[in-house]
Formats: sequence, structure tokens, C-alpha cells
Amino acid sequence: MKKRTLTNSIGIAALVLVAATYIYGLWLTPPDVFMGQLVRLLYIHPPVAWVAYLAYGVTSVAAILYLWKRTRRPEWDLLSAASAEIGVVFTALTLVTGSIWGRPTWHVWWTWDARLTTTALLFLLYVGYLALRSAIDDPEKRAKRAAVMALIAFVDVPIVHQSVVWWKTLHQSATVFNASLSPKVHGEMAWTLLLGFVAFTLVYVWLLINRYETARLRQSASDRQLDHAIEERVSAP
Amino acid sequence: MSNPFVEAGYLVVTIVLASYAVMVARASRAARARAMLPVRVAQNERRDEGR
Repeated sequence: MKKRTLTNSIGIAALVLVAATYIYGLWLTPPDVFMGQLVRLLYIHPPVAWVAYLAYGVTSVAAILYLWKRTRRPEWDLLSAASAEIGVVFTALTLVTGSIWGRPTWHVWWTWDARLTTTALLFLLYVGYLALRSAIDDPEKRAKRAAVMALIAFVDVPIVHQSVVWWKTLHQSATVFNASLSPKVHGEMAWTLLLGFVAFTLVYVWLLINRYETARLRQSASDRQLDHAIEERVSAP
Repeated sequence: MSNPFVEAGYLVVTIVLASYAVMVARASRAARARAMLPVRVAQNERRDEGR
């Protein structure tokens, strides 16, 4: 019951902070000297991209913990899958908000720029991960193969992040997490961006707790059903 | 503030996240209700035996 109260509190906090980000992002912060009103997309685009990175990071850590024999537990596999699914949703949002920003800025919805291409590849890799999971019935085999796939897919995350440094791209360089770790936004714009990061991270945490709990309960329900079926067969004359 | 691209961006994020959150919350509630089923059945059986 306490756990449920905590989850609900995280959900309410996430909702309030997302609403605050929207209010500051849409109305209370000034337009940018160069980007004009389009700067307002900055308060949601980098935060959703960050959550995608975070989700895939959690997926990979859980995959490692599953693959390592000492820490192997089916729960790590469930956590890995739950986080990957949320990561796919946030990567899709990153691509869409980026495209909406790109149209008035670069005059194209899509271009085969290094950042965009590697992000699209990231999306496809994790859609592949989810497809792989649904294609294998044996839970142990599925967990092992999915964990390996998660680690292979994660290789693309640093490539996406560094793509603006390694290649000449249309996409601007990192606003916050750059090499010198000196944010390129200041004042209330920086605070609103930070608010966006916190708000969407809380959304991720709330989604992850619920998604993981659902998967765990489904797993134990199916285990119970299996036990029941075995019991019935054994006791049958 | 009035910019169709900005509005579209915020709208997409809101619709997608709200729909996904509702789906996740419903699935979670259904799974919890299903997990409580054996407990409820046992409670009902005990109540019936007491009658």
C-alpha cells in the first residue's frame, strides 16, 4: 500500500512539473534572439531525448545484471523490457519534435543528418529488441537473447550523442551535456529547461514503476497458472 | 505565443504521453486486480464457510 502511495505521489509530482514546464515554456519565458518562438521547443525536445538515453541506460544495466550469473534474476529481464518500451516511446517523441523543429529551421521535415540518422537507427534497434522479445516463447532463452540485443543496441547511444561532434551536422551541438559541461542557455530559459528534464524524468520513473509492476504481476500469475495446471495433472487419476 | 510548430510539438508530446500513461495505468490496475483474485476467492470461501 505504501509503495502504491509513493508511485501515486511520483505521478502527481510528474504531472505538476510537466504542467509547470508547459506554462513556463509556452508563456513565461521570452523568445530567443535567433530562434524566436521556436526556442520553446527546446524545453521539451532535449528532455524527451534525455529520457530515451536514460531508459536505454537502465535497460542495459538490467541486461548486464541478468547476464551476470551472480545477479541473474528474472526481475532484471522484466525491468530491462519495461524500460526499453518506454525508451522507444520517448525516442519516437524525440524524432517527431526534432522534425517539427527542423521544418521551420532547416526547411525540411527530415534530412539524412548524422544526429537524425543515428537517432532513427536507435529507434529501429529498440523496436527490434521488442520484436525479438515477442518472437521467443521460452522465457530463459528470450531473456538471454534480449539482454545481448539490448547491449548491442546501446552502442548506438554514445554514437547519437557524439554525432554532432564527430561529423559536420545540421543539428546544433549539445546545449547542456557538451564536452565542457557549460550550458548554452542561461537565466529563466536554463531553469525552464532544467524543469523539463526533472519533469520528464519523473514521468519516466512513474511509467517504469507501473510497467515493471504489471510485468511482474503477469509473470507471477502465469507461474501460478502453470503450477495449478501441473497440480491438477498430478492429482488426476 | 502563437507559432503552429511550437503548438504542434507540445500537442504531440501531450497526446502521446497522456495516451501511453493511461494505457500503462489501466494495465497496471488490471494486473493488480488479477493478482488479488485468489485472495478475494479465499476471503469469500472463508465467509461462506462461516455462514
